[in-house]
Amino acid sequence: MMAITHAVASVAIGSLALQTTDTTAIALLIAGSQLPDIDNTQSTAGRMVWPLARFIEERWPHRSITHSFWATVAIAIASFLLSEKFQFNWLALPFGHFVAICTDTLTPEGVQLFWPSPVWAVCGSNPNARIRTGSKAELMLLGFFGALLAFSAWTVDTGGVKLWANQLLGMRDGVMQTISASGGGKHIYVDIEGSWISDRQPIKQQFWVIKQEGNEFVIADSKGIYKTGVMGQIATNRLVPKPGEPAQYQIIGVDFSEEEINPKLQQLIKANSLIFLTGILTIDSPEEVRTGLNPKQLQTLIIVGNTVQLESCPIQWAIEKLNYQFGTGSLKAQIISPPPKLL
Amino acid sequence: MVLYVANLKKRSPAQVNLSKIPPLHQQQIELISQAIKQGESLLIIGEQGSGKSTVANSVKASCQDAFEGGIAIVSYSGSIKPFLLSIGRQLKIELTKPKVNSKGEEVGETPMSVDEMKEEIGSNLFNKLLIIDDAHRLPTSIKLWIEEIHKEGNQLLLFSITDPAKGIFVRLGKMELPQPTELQIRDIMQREAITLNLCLSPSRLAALQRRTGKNLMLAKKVIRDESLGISSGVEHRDYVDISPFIMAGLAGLAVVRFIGLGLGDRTLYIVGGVAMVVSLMLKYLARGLTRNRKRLGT
Repeated sequence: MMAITHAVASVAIGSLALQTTDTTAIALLIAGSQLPDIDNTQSTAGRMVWPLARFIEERWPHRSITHSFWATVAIAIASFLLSEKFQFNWLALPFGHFVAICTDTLTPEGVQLFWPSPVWAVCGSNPNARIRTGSKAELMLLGFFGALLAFSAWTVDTGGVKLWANQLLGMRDGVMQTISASGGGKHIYVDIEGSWISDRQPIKQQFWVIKQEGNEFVIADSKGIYKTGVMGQIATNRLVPKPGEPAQYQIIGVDFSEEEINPKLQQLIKANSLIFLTGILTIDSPEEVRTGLNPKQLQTLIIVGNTVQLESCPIQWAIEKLNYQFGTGSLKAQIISPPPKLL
Repeated sequence: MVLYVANLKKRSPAQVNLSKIPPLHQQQIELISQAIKQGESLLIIGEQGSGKSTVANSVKASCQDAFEGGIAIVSYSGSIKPFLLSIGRQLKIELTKPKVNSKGEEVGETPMSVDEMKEEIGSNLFNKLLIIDDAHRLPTSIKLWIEEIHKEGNQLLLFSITDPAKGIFVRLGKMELPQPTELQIRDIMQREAITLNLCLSPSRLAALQRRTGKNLMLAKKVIRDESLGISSGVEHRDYVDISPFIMAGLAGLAVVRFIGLGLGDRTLYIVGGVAMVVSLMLKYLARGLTRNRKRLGT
């Protein structure tokens, strides 16, 4: 195999397996992929360490001692010890070596993977079906690994293979996994394909996820707040999670006992943040509250008897509707800062 | 500028010091000779080109004194009569009988029949050693005959590529010739190159050595082919095909499917299922693609 094939294969498989695009790790993967060929004075790597290459060449056939699993183990130990001193991913160097020696089994001559055992490891028992160094078939293999490298760089950069699979499959579970994987440190957007429950009109749009509720989501766009599922406003066929910019999520409790609601809510308001309220309050004069109804949106504030029930209600909306009301009960306030770009 | 000639060193192509390399099969030759001198009969197994004939000659040389009647090295090459005659010649056993004319008078000598020769050799093997090279080639009649002479208490040393594990081969103590080291193979290659007046760099030798495996005969053959400009490709049979390991590894991805099932992670479940099916597809493809191409007439 040519040096470039080894390098591309090692970086492609290595970055995918180790889930990294770190420059040091990539450099170590490339270095590891060239290490086996220091047994050959004709190779690029061998010319760099000529005396060592000549020493090995005089004693062992090409692709024997430096192409063995024992060499991988030795490199792993050396790499581990060095990584204690200079901080780097110690797996990268031996992984590069491992991939390089394994791809060499695709050549007609094979590799002594199990050195000092005299057997030559090959992949595919027919030598004519294996890949000659520098042949057209090797260029095709190089192309394949190049494509794999592009794929691995793209998926690792955009959040890993798991997220890629979740986006491809577009399942509800994938969004849930993405929410938990973000650890409350990121805005999560979701591309939804489905239909409005009210009038069956198709919908294909990006929303921002406020929170997960059971198996469904409370989501928002610039026009309003919605809930997915049959009890909500949007029936979903496909949900593609898209992690976005960093954000801070915080939940605090607010208690009221026969006191005016608004001053306490006003205190919560902070610059550059969104606040959503959830909970039930008993209020003195529910008949004064006007809620209005939009069938395409989530009813974030409803009056039931002498209580007001809030579900992910924007704080400004609550302040407007509950002006001069006195109430008893407690609310959960979800504080998100900064606001998402959508709103 | 003054250049001091004394400071210049001509670097000759580095060569491994040949005298440091232990001679081939030295230990085995000593072991075999010792056993033979103690009256044992042995079967030595070694693949084609592993140096069996060389060992046979060395054993003969070192056991010469112990066998007053002599030592014969023979190999069967297609017909029984020359085989037996060769034994007779080497062990100085007369394999002729008087020729009698119609009046009952002796007139010269006539060769014995095969059965008579077998009889004659069998009864004259006392204090003699019979070494048979390439014993795997022997026809059944000779195998049965040497089994008989072994039963009568005569000593044998057989060299064979395979151990048929029957008849005479089971009766003898068995020993396998070990494979030579990489350095011994390299030594043979260098010597052959010198004999053929061929200048090969260590790099070229290291590349050629990949084709020889651990076979002495191939080591020489590869160098001869190189001097003729023939590239014969890989010849040894020391291969292990690792594709089953790869297939097993891919099929192992099915584990992911069950982990997904257990954890209720549908993404893992689907990805694992897809990986399992892809590994099955690869298995069938690999089976179809690696079939050897048939040449016309084979």
